[in-house]
Amino acid sequence: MSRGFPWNRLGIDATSDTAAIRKAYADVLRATNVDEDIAGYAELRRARDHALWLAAQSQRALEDDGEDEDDLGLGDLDLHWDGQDEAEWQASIAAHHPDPAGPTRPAELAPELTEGQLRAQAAWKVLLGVLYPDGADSDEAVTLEELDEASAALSVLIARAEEADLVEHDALDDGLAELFARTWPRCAPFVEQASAAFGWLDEAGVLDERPALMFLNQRLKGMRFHEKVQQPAHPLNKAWAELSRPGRASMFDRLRVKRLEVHKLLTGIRERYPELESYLDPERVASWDKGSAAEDKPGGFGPAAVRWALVVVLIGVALAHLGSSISGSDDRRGAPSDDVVAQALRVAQGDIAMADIFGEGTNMAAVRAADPVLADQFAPLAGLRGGNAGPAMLALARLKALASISGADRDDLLVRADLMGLWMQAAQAQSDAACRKVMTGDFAALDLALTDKQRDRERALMKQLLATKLLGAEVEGGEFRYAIPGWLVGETIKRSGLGEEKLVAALTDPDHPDRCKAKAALIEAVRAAPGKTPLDVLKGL
Amino acid sequence: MLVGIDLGTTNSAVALWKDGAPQLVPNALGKDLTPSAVSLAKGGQAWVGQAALDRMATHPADTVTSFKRMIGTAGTVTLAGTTLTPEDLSAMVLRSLADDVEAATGERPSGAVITVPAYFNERQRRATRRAGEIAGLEVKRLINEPTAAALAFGLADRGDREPFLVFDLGGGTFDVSIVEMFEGIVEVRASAGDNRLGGDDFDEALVRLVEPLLTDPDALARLPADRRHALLTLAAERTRRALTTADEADFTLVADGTSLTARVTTEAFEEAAAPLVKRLRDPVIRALRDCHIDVKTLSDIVLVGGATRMPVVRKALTRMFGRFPNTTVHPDHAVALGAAIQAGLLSGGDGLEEIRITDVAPFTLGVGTATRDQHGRYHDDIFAPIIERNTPVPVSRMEGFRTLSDNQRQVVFAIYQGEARDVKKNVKLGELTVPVPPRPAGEVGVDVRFTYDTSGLLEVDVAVPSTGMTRNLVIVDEDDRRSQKDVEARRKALEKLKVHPRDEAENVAMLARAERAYEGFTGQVRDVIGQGLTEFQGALDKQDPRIIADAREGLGRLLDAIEANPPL
Repeated sequence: MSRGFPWNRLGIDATSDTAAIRKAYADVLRATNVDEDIAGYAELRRARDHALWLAAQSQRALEDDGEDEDDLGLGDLDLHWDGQDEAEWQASIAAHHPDPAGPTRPAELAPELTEGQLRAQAAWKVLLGVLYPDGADSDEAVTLEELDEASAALSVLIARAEEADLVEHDALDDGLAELFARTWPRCAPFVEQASAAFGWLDEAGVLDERPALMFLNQRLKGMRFHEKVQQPAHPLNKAWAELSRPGRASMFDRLRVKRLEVHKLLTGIRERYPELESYLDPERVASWDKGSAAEDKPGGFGPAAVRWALVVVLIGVALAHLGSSISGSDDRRGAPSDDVVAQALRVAQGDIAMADIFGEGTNMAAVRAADPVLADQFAPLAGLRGGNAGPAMLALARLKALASISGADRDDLLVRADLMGLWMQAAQAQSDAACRKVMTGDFAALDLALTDKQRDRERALMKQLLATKLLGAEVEGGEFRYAIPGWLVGETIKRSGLGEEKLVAALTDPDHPDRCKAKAALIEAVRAAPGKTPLDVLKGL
Repeated sequence: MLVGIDLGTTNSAVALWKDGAPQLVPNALGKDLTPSAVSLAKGGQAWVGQAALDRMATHPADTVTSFKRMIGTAGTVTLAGTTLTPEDLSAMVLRSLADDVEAATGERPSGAVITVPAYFNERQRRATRRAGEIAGLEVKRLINEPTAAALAFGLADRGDREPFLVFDLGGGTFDVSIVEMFEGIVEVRASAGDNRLGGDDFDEALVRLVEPLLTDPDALARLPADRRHALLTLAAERTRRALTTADEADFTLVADGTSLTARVTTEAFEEAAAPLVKRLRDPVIRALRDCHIDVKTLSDIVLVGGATRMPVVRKALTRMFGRFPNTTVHPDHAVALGAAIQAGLLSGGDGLEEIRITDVAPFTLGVGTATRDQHGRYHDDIFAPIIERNTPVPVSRMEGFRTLSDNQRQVVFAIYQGEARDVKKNVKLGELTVPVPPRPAGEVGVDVRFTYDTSGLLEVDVAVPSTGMTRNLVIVDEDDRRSQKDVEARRKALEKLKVHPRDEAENVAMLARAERAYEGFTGQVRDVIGQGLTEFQGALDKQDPRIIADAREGLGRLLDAIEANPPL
C-alpha cells in the first residue's frame, strides 16, 4: 500500500473515499496545536487538498470519459485575453448565449432560456455585429446608426445583468470586458456605460485586476484625461490646444506656450495613453519634437536640457589620501613617546587645533563629548611635533567632512555642500591644482588660502557637523552613481557656461580639464535650490 | 469565567457557554440586545444602552451611536465636555454587558471572546482588543462575526455541511464568509466584505430620499445640525423597520413642536438603496472566486445581521443566488451565541471536545518594495504581497528581496495590508529597517518572513543572510504602544463616570423613553405624556420600590399604547 505523501501525513492508506480523507484530516487536526506547529498545519492542509484532488481524479477516471461538460459556471469566460484565437473566443462567447437556431447547440442548454435571457442573447449578437463589422476586426469609428443600435443593445445587456443571478451577471461582466478589450478602439463610445454599470474602475489598481480590465481601465482613464485636458482650467490645457492646432509651430507659438508643459503633456500621454496622440496634429507635434531636440544644444535659453544626466563618481578616493598623507606621516615619526611633556604637549596642541577647526571654545574634551570616535582619531595626531599637529588635524577634519555621507540626512548634506562650496571657491581662486586637491580630499598637501571671513564660516559649519557625529563615522568607499535631474543640469549649464555633453563628461571623468568649473557650478546650483535637490545628488557631490 | 460578546454597530449582546449550550444573558431591562449607545451629562452622569439611545432624541449632542464605525481611527467624540475615543465608548458598552453577566451569574467575567467583522483590518482589531482591556476584560480571542454565526448555525445539529455562505449585513459592516463543516471541523474557506457598509447607510439613503419631500422643511432647517441629523436618522430607522412589513410607511418626526411627515413607498426606497445593494455583490463574487466554489454548489445562504431583515436586501439576495436564503438563524443573536461557543472551546466547555475552527486571513499582507530612505528617489511604492488574502491561518511565509541601488546602506520594509498594487492605497501597519553591507545593487539579499497567527497577530522577521543581521517586529501601531501604558488610566477615567446603579436601570430607561416620547409628539398627546412623566417622577421621590414599580408599569403601558398607534 502506498503510504507516501499525502497519505502518510493523513495517516491513512491511499483512498478515493473523500469522507475518509476528511475524517483523517479532522483527526490529525484535532491532535495538532496549529499555533505551535504552523508549518505542520500548512503541510496537513496541503496533504488534505492533494488527497481530495487525487480522489477526484480517480473518480473522474471511473466515469465515462466521453462526456464534455459544458455548464454555465464562472470559469466559462475565464479566458486569457491575448492568448486565444479570435474565432475560438467568439465561438465561446456565442456558446454562452447560444443562438437558438444554431445547429451545434448543446441540448441541455436549450429549453431553459427565459424571455430576459433571450433578449440578452439577441442584444449580444447586435453588439458583436457592430463591434466586428462583417465578422472582422475594424479600427473604423462606429457610425451614428451603429452607435444607437449598439448602445441600446448594451443597455439591454446591463439591465439583464442587474436582474440576473451571480453566475450570469459575472459571465456578462467578464464577457463585455473581454469583448471591449478586444475591439478597442471601436468600442470606445460604450465603455463608460458598461464601466459604470459593472464598477470596472473600482477594480483599477487591485492586485487581481482582470487583464482585460487592466487594459480598459487605462483607456478609460485616458478618455477622462482627454475630457479634462480640454477644460480651460486644466494646467496642460494650453499645451493640448497648441498641439491640436494644424501645421508647424511658429516662433510666436513657442513664446505663447511653455515648452515644459508641451513636453510634459507629450511624454505623459505617450507613456500612459498613447491612443490620445491621434487627437493631436502630427505636423505640429513633430515640429515641437524637433524643436526640443534642437534646443537641447548648449547655450539655449532657459531650462533647455530637461534630460537627466547620470554621473558615476568614486567615493573614497579621499581615503587613499588619508592613508598616505596622515597615518603615513605618523609612521615616519614613530608613535609619540608617553612622557609627561609629550602628554602636556598633546593636550595643548589638541586644544589649539580644535579651536582652530571648530571655533573658539571647543577643545579636545568638548570634541570627545560630542563625538568620541572622532576624538580617538584626532588623538594620535595631537602628539605630532614640529608644528605638524594643527595642519594634520585640520586636514583630517576637512577630509572627514568631505566624506561624511553615510548616515547623513538632508540637512547634514547641505552643510557639507556649503563647506564644499566654500573650499571650491577659495581653491578656484588659487589654482586649478588646488581645486583638484579639494575635490579628491587631498587636504594634507594643500594650503587652502581662506579669508578670515571664510574661515569663520568654515568653523561654524564644521561645528554643525561635529554635533551630528558624522565626522567620526567610518568612511566607506566604492562607486556611487547618481542621476542629476534635468532642471539641475540646466542650472549648472547656466552657471558654468559649459555645454551639456562637456558638463556630463567633466562631472564623470576625474581628469577632465573642465572638472573644476563643472563641479563648482553644480555645487552652486545645488546650494541655490537646497530643498529640491535629490538626496543622491547631495551625496554624490 | 469567559463570555462571548457581539460588539455590534447598533446592538451588542453577551452570551456564555452553560450546560452544553450557548445562552444569551439579558440586560437590566430584561432584553437580550443592548443598544450600542452612550450618553453623557455634565457632572459625569452616564447612560449606556437603551436609555442612552432614548436620549438621542432629547440630547443629540451628548449622545453617540454607531461608534464602531470610528474604531481604529484617530477620531474622538466629545459628549457633555468629556472627550472619549471609540475604544472608550466600546469599553463602556462592554462593561455594561459584563455587569449584566455578573448580575445573572453572581460572577464577574474575567475574560471574553469578542467578535469583529471579518473584514476589519489590523488596526480596527487592535482597537477592539484595547476596548476590552479598558473594560477590564482579558480579550482571549477576537473571532470573526460570520465565523461566529457559522458556529451557531452549524452547531445547531452538528451534522456535516457542504460549503455554505454566511451573509452578514450589520448596522455598519458587511461580511461574506464561505464555511464548510465536517467531522466537527468548522472550516472557513474564504471571507470578503466591506467594512463601511451597513444598515446605517440605508438609513442615510432614506434620509436623502425623504428630506426634500417633508411637509415643512423650514421647521427642520431651523434646528441645529446635530439635532436635525439625530431626528432624521431616528425617523429613518423607524421607517425602515416599518417597510419590512408594509409596502409603504410614513416617515414622521417632530421638529420643534411641528410634526413633519412624508410617505415612502417600497419602490422609492428600493431605488434609493440601489447603489448600496449593488455593493453587496462584489464581496460575494470575490469570496466565491477565492475558494473556487461554484455558487450552485453552495448548500445554503445563511442570513445574519439585523439589516438582512430588509426586504430590499432579501430580494437582491434571492436574485443573486437564484434561490431563497436560509433565515433559520436569529439574525441578532447568532453572532453572540457563536462567540459563546468559542469561549466554551477556549475554556474546555462540555460537549465541545471535538470542535475545531480554522479561519483565513481576510486581507493580503505584504511590503512596499524597498526604498533607501524617506527622501530617496526610489519610491516606486509597489505592493509585494507575502501572505495572500484567504490563506488559512496560522500561516508563515518567507519572501526574498534584493537591494535596489548601489551601496545601499539599509533596507526599509514598510508593511501593508490591502489589495491595491499601489501601497499608498493600502493600510500601513508598521515599518522595519535593517542595515545591509554596501554592495552593488542587487547583490545583497534580504529575507522577510511574515507569521500570522489565529488571533490575527502579525509578526515580521527580517534577516540579511550575508551578515547574519536579523530584525523582528510584532506589529504594534503607535496607538497600541501608547495605550498599553494608559489602559489603566483610561479605565480609571471611565470609572469616574457615574453609570446608574443596576437596580435603577429600569427607572432611568423609562425616564429617558418618556422624555423622548414627549419630544416626539405634539399637542394633547404631549400633554398626556408630560403628565405621566410628572407622576412617575413623583413616585420615584417616594422611594418605595412597590409604588415605583407600579408607576413605571403604568407609564410603560401608556407609552406602548401611544407608540403603537401614533395619533398623527
